[in-house]
Amino acid sequence: MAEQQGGAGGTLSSKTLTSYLQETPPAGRISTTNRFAFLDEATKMEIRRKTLKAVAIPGYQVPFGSRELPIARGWGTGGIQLTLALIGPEDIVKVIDQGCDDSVNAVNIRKFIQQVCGVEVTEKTAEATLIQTRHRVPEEPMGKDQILVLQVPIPEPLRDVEPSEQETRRMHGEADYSSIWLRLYEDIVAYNEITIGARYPVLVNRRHIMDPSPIPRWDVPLLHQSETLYLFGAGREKRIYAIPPHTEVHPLEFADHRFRVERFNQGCMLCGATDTYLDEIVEGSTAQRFYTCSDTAHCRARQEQQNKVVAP
Amino acid sequence: MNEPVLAIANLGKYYGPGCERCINSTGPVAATNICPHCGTVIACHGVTFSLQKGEVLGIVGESGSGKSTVIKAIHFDIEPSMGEMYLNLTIDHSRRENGLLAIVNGKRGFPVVDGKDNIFTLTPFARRQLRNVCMGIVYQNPMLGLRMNFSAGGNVAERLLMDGWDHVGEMRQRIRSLFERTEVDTKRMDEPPSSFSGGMQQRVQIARALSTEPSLLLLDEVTTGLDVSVQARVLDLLRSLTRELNLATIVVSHDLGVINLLTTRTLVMKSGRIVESGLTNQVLEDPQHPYTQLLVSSAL
Amino acid sequence: MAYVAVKGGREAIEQACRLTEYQRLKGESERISVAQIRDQLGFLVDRVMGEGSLYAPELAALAVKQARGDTFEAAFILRAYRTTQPRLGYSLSGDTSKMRVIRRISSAFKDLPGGQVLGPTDDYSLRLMNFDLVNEDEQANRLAIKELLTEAGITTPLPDTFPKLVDLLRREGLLEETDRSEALISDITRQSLKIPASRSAALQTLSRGETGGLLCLAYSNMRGYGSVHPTIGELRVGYLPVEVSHPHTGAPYCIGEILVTEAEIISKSYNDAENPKMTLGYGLCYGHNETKAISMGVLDRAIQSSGPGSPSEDQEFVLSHVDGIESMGFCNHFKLPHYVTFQSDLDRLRKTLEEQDNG
Repeated sequence: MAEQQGGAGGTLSSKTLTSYLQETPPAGRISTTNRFAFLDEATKMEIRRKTLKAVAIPGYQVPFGSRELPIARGWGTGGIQLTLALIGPEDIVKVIDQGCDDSVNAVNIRKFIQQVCGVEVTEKTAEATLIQTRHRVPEEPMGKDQILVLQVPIPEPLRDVEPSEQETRRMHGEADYSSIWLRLYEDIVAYNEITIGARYPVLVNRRHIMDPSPIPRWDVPLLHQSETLYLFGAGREKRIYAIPPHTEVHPLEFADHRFRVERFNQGCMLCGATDTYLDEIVEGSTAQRFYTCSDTAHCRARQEQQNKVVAP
Repeated sequence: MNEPVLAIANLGKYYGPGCERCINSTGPVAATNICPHCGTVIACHGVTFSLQKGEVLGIVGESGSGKSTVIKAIHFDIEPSMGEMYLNLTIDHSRRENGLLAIVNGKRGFPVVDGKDNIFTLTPFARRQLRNVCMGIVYQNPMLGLRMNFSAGGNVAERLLMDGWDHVGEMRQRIRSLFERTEVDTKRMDEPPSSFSGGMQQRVQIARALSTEPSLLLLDEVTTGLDVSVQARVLDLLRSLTRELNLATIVVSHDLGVINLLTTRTLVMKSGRIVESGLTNQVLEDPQHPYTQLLVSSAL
Repeated sequence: MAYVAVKGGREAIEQACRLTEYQRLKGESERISVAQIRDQLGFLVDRVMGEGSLYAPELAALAVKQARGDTFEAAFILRAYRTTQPRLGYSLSGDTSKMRVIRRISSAFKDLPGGQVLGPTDDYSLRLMNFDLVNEDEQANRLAIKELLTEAGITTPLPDTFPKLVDLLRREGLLEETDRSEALISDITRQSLKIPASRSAALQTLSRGETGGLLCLAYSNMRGYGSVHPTIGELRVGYLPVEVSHPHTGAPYCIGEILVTEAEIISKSYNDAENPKMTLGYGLCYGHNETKAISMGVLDRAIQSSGPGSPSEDQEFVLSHVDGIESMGFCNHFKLPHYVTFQSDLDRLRKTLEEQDNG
């Protein structure tokens, strides 16, 4: 009788912490695993299979059994799972957030990838074989031997016009896209402008409307007929989708209201570039606005190039 | 005689498990559409008819007779349990050959409608394309036919967008002329239809249904629930539109007055079956089936 | 030189991690041990196991310690640990009638076969601040335990198992039969949830849902935004044997037992007007967590409604929003920099305002 009144773990002969410690080799105690690329092989295989399906049907969101990672949902877990499923020991990895290699999310993820894969990392776009990014596509053109993995918070481009997942899946199946077009029409009626900033919906391969992840409109043309494979991972929403190389990607637009990228009336104050996406910086005391390149690695390379020219 | 635009054969829609005795124990004689043995609802059964270009067909019956089920099945709002549907149309794809919208909704993959294939067996994708281009519907309840949180003009634009229009200026011009024709105040085209009167909402629905110049127009109890004077004006509009556009039209109504005013031929339905059909004036003046007789006498 | 945006976040991040460790270490009190958390904060450990969806009291206690008591974080650490573990196999379906019960009540009947077993519960204690706990006397505690166990005057031992009340109601034809037609049990940790979700996928999602989230949605239903009108058919807490199929003989083999809370919620809403029967909502979660099990039972019944009339009755709404790990992650991700997207939005607004000035 007495034994029956125990609380959790009271009488249950559970594993002791010591036994967990004995099972886990010291090197893995912090990461809790000593497996290459963290995920177990069955998971990697599943993600690769789903990735192939995504490549086969450009722009279609493939559901997958998204796993929990030591990094929180919404912090790039979809992208990380893609990266970890694809990465090999020979890969050279670059991680960026907002175009910047030093931003918190990028630092965090790079550290994790290094810890569980031990691969080489780089900040140079051209050197990397695998680039994971949040909210930006690198300015420098990428090649066919590279893969860009984009982190996606909300994979469903129709979510703003239809909250139900069951319904949006039907809409994609039947190419029932009138509601999102209608949203654009209504925007023009109300504001004489399409008011979508980032996360601009695109039509992929003339079939599926896709959310390109919250990249600025500036990056959208880079998705069209590119040399590089673009993979999109949404961990929390458990979806993978892809734009294979040489795929048609068109932003939604009207004949008399064209899609337009962001405008900056000046160049980067560091490298002088006028052909890049810029971050706006407000100087504290004077409230003066400055602009610098969002792609920091690209900006730095340009500055170095300029210094070389000036001082041979 | 020409090939019919629309042919429906043996259309049936059942809700429930179904049993061997369902069909024999329901219908006009049994005066029920619920099977007493298994509780299955025989919403409609064995419905067969065809429709010519320019013809206006009425389906009349009380609520529960299955008339709305028929029109909803034709509009692909519900999946029929059995039956066939054939469409024989010439579709002009010129608009859908260019532009971004055309790519999705255009000719590529558009079903062939030469009257040879059972339309009910097409994929939902193909049926949707067909519906966008070839059919227009006006529901009794404007909530079903209109998006109340978008503008009235937007509601019409939605159909145009699906039909490959990709120029906002041209669309607005088209909407304006449709609204003028259906007598909707064009100054209010950017207001939501929720702020409109019932009659005005029906006019917006009519403009929406006609926007893509469909071959088939479906009217489901369009004037039910409107004030008598408003009713008369909407009916008047519909009568002149059906004559002017020479469309194949189906008018579903429980109101013999509406049937009399708009249609040339009529089907009378009771408990899920057609009990009588013929030219409208014949059916109304010399009804053969006892149920039709009852209907006509009670209407007078 | 004007101000330049702070890049070089790497260093700052390292320091932030060190600071949080400092927060854990500071203070002069003795370090709390994992064993202490496991033994003395049992409800906390149970909650973390349930939401972390891993039955491991020791690890859950460690996670609580590491997360400094944040249940979201602790459950999250446990789930991430779970990802690293291979899936070796599936247990056989558990049979809760074989549960070794420590508490079992029904509010549907005054008495029921097997009797009401109150067991350990705070339901009847006054929630007065107990200042005696400020300075506990170890010797007095040991004495108290001895007294409780030997002198409480327990005469009849509890039976090994109890009949299930819902089985009795079913036999009488008053309660709807459980739909057992689902041939293949889903595994939501391996396949993403499809909507409409199968019953097994829905129950799994609810069972690892966040306690507060489940309670909030279930409460909205109980309070009026819904029509479940629950009665607790049976609530039981106890140890459930876990059986697997023997790899060679195929015979069921018990590999241990886990503490679970089970709630069977009877709803007087009928599904079928012709053949009215009461309907059942089912709740089961790891550990001792009655609030969660009851909330889950109510929601399980609510999301089976055809034609949802409120959010708590909408299967997609409920199942997409109850996971604590996902909702907490997404909520906090808004702290990440969004300056690129914000810049893009600013550009649109400036352009739109420009248009308005021109127009």
